[in-house]
Amino acid sequence: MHQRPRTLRLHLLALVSATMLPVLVLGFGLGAVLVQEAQDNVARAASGRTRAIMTAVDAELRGAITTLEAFAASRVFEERDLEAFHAQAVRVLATQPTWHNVSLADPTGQQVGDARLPLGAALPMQADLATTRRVIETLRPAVGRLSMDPGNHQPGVPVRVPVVVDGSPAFVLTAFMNPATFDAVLRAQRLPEHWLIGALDQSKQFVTRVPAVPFGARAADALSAALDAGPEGWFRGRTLEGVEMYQAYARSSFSGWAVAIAIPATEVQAPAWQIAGGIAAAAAAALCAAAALAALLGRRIAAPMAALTAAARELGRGVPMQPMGDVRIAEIAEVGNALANAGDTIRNREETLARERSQLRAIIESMADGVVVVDMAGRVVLVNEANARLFGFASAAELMRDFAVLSARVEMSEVAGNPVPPEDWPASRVLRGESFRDVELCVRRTDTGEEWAVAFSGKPVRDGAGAQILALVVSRDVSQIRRVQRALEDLNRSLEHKVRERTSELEALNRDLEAFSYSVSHDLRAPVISVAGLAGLLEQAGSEAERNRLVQRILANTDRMSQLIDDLLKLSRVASGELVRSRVDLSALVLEVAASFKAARPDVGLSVERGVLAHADASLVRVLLENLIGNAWKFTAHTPSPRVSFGNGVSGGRPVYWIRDNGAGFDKALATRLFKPFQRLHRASEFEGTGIGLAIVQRIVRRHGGRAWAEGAAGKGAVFYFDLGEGDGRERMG
Amino acid sequence: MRRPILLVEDNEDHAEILMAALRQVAPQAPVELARDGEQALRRLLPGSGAGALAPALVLLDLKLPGIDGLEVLRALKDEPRTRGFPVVILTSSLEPEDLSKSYRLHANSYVRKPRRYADLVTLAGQLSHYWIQINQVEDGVKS
Repeated sequence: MHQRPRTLRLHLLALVSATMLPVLVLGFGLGAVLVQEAQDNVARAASGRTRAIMTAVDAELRGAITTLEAFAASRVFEERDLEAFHAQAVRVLATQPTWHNVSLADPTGQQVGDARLPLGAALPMQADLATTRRVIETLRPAVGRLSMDPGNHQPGVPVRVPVVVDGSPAFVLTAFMNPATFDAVLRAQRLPEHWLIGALDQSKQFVTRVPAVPFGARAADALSAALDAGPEGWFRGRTLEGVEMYQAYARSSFSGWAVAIAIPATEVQAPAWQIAGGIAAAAAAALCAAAALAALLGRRIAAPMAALTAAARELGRGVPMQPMGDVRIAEIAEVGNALANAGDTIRNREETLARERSQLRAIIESMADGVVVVDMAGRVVLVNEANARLFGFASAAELMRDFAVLSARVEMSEVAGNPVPPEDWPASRVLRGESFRDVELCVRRTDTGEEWAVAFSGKPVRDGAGAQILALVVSRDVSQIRRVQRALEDLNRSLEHKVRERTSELEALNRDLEAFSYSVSHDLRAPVISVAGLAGLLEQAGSEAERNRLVQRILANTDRMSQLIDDLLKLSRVASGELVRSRVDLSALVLEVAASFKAARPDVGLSVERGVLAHADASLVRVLLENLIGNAWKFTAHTPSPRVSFGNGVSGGRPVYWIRDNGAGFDKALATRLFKPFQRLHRASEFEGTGIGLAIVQRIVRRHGGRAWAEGAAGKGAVFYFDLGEGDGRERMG
Repeated sequence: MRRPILLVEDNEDHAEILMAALRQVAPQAPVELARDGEQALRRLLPGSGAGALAPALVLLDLKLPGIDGLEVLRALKDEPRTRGFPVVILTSSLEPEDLSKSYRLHANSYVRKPRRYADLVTLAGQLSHYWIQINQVEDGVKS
């Protein structure tokens, strides 16, 4: 059990009480002894008094006996002269004021003389015959009990002596003493008021008493029992008045009488109470003094202690400690010094801590990554601005106020798209003790729908004992990286695509080039061979007309060579040079190109769809149209009512243009060879041409990223289609 | 009866020059001219016209409008009746590929057209003599 600490004053009081207790016990023990002794003193004094009073009473009786014995030795008794006796008795009585009467009786108790009664009167029997008998038997004087004088009817105490005549008891001489005699003796004692005093005869009957009691009153039960117990004593008991009092008594062995004094209990106990009171007062005073001392000492200790406590509290609040001032207690002064030192140490440590904290704070604040620290109850302990910005909050304070606003504002999902509930959010996972690095989640703001990718790293923070106390989560916005990554991937893909495209283009170009060089080798050699051969024939020619014919043929061949070289140049020109797209009115261009052909052969019917626009390289498109329209014109040369038309449509989402004629057409099976350089489907004698025209068309269309193809049948005309690539379509849309 | 030489040539000048040369070296041999591949096959393949030709020699240009020389060669060599016709490719092509393709299709010879007329005459003489003589020997054996 842990007890509440008690104040120093209480401890001191307890100490004082503990030390005072034996003293008090001793004091009270001593007090009890003293009280007892005081009471014993009173008892002893009272007993002394009773004995003294008893002696005084006995002295009165002895005096009476002595007087009586002297009278008994008188000669009147030898002579039995009752008359003389009467006279002498009257004289004796006159000298004894304490006596009522003097009488004489025979050994049976029959009175024979009475000083109060006239001589010769009839006399009664004596009172208290028991005393009379004892006197006769012992021949010694005896004191009787309080009785009534039978002759005079007055109460009195008979004191008797034997009168011996001739060696035998002849008479009993009795003096009847006035009880007031003893009353005077008692009163002469000058006992304090409220004390009772009494003299009792052998039958415990009060002879006299102060205050007075009626004749014949006997001792109260307590006193009676005490008188039976011993010759003297001290006891506490009820008086005849029924009051509890201390009583002392003494019985005389001479007379058999007793004297008793009763003292009020208060008077007996008073000294005892005085002593007890004194002791109690002394004890109380000592206790008070000790308590006061303890209190004083306590205050002297407690005051500096309180100052220490206040100083410690101040220290706790971080206020520098004030000097303690004059402290008289060495230990407290030492504690004060130690506290002051501790204060300095704490202040130094706090300054160091504060410096480190602000450094840490600055580092955390300057981090581009978001940092949040949450305690085990889920409260935010620390959060930096980067973290707030990352989740779309104006300031860290907004997040700090209530972390729950975060879950109200954002949702999270895995990169794959599965939603992540708040209980599986990074902070919650770390609170469960998990550690992880660079877990990427998609964060979405529910209010704006904005999304971004965040990489989270989390780690529990533990105390010295290894118990988790905090959760640390670092988050980084990786959206930009992801975007760049995606763009890069896209770029790579498109680059690969472009490379493939370009490669295939290059391959096509290469094939073209091979085919081209093949054809050049053939087609350029052919006229050379012709010229050489014709020249050989010319040498042998017989007639003038034959020679002329051969010369014409040679010239035709050189023209053809020249034409070939021009066309090759054209082809190489369309293959190189920059492609610049602009808006081209194809309809107008077709009309313009066709005009030059129409001048040579106006019979060809031309129909042109108006307002056909394209986005293409104007000069290349002109060359393209020149070739296609030229072809159409050429292959309708042998066609009755020739027609050429231009129009457009859409194929594969792109605008497609076409030139149609109703001329010679071509064998469907040979359609693929149409666009190869130097491929000719017709004999030169039928249709002139170098075989390069459609190759040029193909090259121009390809350079635009488009495609050219033809449909037709032998003798049923032909349609040449072409598109001008993506650049054309996009522009037209816009 | 003398078997003709079939010249397949679209170039009029070349045709004239070759025929002049052939006339010069083998005046007794009849020479027929086909102006393109289609014409040549019509003359040579059975069922393709009345009186299919059985030439002593086919001089075949490669570069022809429509059906080109290699296709004509393949057609001839695929057909059992015409397989035996000696076919000499006579071309201006310098392509090694044309040469190898021709031999793969079982051309009997591959000759580039010489530039000089005198060389052409010499070549024509050699060709006609060689192939015509062989044909005569074979004909003799058959008869």
